[in-house]
Amino acid sequence: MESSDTSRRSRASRHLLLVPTALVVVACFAIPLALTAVYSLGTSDLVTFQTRFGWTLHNFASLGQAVYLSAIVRSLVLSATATVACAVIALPLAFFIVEQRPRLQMLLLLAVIVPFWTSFLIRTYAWVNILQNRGPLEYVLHRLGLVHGPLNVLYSPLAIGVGIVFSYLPLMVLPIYVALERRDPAVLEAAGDLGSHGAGLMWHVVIPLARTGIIAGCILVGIPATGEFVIPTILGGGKTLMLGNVIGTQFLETGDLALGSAMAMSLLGLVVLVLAVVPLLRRRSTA
Amino acid sequence: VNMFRRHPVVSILAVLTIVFMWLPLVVVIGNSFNGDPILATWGGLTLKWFEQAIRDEQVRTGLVTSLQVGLLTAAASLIVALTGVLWWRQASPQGRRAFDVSVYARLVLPEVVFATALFLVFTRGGIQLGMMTTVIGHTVWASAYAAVILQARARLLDPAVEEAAADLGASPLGVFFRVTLRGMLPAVVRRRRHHVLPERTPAQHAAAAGPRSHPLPRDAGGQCHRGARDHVDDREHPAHRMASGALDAWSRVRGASARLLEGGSP
Repeated sequence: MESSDTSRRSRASRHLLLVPTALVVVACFAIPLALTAVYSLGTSDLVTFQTRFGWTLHNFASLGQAVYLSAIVRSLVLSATATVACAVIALPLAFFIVEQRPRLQMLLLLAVIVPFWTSFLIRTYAWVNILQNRGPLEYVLHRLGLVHGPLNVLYSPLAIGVGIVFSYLPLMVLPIYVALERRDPAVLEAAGDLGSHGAGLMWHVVIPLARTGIIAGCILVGIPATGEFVIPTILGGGKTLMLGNVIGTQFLETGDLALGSAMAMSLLGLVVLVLAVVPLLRRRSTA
Repeated sequence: VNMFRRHPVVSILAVLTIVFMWLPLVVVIGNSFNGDPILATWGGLTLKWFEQAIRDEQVRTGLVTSLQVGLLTAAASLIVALTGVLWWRQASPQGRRAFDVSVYARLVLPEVVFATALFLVFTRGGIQLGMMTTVIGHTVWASAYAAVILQARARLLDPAVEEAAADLGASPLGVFFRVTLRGMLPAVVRRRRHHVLPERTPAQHAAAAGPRSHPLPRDAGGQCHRGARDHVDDREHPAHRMASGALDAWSRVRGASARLLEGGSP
């Protein structure tokens, strides 16, 4: 009897351990998301800033309007382009690192990681300084004779792309490095012995070896880049809106919480779709 | 040198990429010592920006706020993650799976979606936005990241050692502090260190903090904008371990789960 009481008490105290996590997940994660879903089906009055709850899909239909659709398309195009650019830039670097001696590999990985220990905002603002007209980049390009007039890159989609590639590059380099590091070194030697060099070696040997890392990197870069909020604000100067900016504007400025919630739910749906497709891609790539 | 001879194009591209990654940092460091008032050209070596920063009340307040947010978030997320992982160790397979889903769902959710969802709850509940709402926002995400690290460490702990300590007369608290916590200590330290580093979730911060809370990076960013411009999966290869650890750290950039990187399903 006593032992069954003790075991019941110990089971209860064990479940007490779950209370903080349950509180966080339910109160600060599940309920906010459920509330967003409820808001997305309601209507916001832009005069009184009151939201009436209902079951309308009007907000989702509004996403088809040119202004929102262009932001969605721009987000997808910019994040897809930046993801591809990250993969193209990261692959040679990851291959270069993995081919070094262990000690040098550590140093090179540190070179990839350390810049990202500084504040994200400071690093992004540094690009304002680099990309502005009469800035250091324009000076160097003038000296090289590659550009003659003003650079006019800052506050453009190109500047946002540069910012996204810069910010998310380690998220592509590291998974590719991990994938290449697990390879059998004999494969590269065999490819070299069989006459595979340069671009052929990269295309036929290195990329297939790094495929799982590339897929992981594409998720790590593509998903957050689609909802990016800060980089378009700073480097796009508020002129090139991405989905994250439009969502933020609806909540913090316009006050159309219902429409903002519908946009947030749509972005969430997009992420779920991508995460559902990736395991299929991974299975195909390993098959 | 050998690599440069074997793969010259790859090597040059790799070096250029590292230069690209360090460029903004070099610019920030250079500008912090640049005497030119608008930083358009090199105006000589100066420490005046540092002096101004130290004298500026807003910068000092921002630094204190950053440290407070960092320490409170570290403490809160550690409590949530540690208790959760201790439960997870003894949970049924279904319980473990539910816990994993709760962890990875928080990591995968885009930051802007999560931040606006929390904003709705806070405004609906009449909760004033400020430092505490910022800490709550960071804790929800950070506790998931901490749980991933602690889970990896917990997998390496042998339950037989804890059972042996209990058989030798140690109390449940004694077993926890002297065996379990000691075994998980490296992951606990890593979690705390990560959180005291500069916060880096601006969208979350903008939505959860409101106008009252200004951590230092946000203030410094504002200064620049205004024109002062001034897995812990213990593998043998240390470089691999470092890359995996860093990947875990960055999986917090709201986009993916560490498990996905390890080849499992999200």
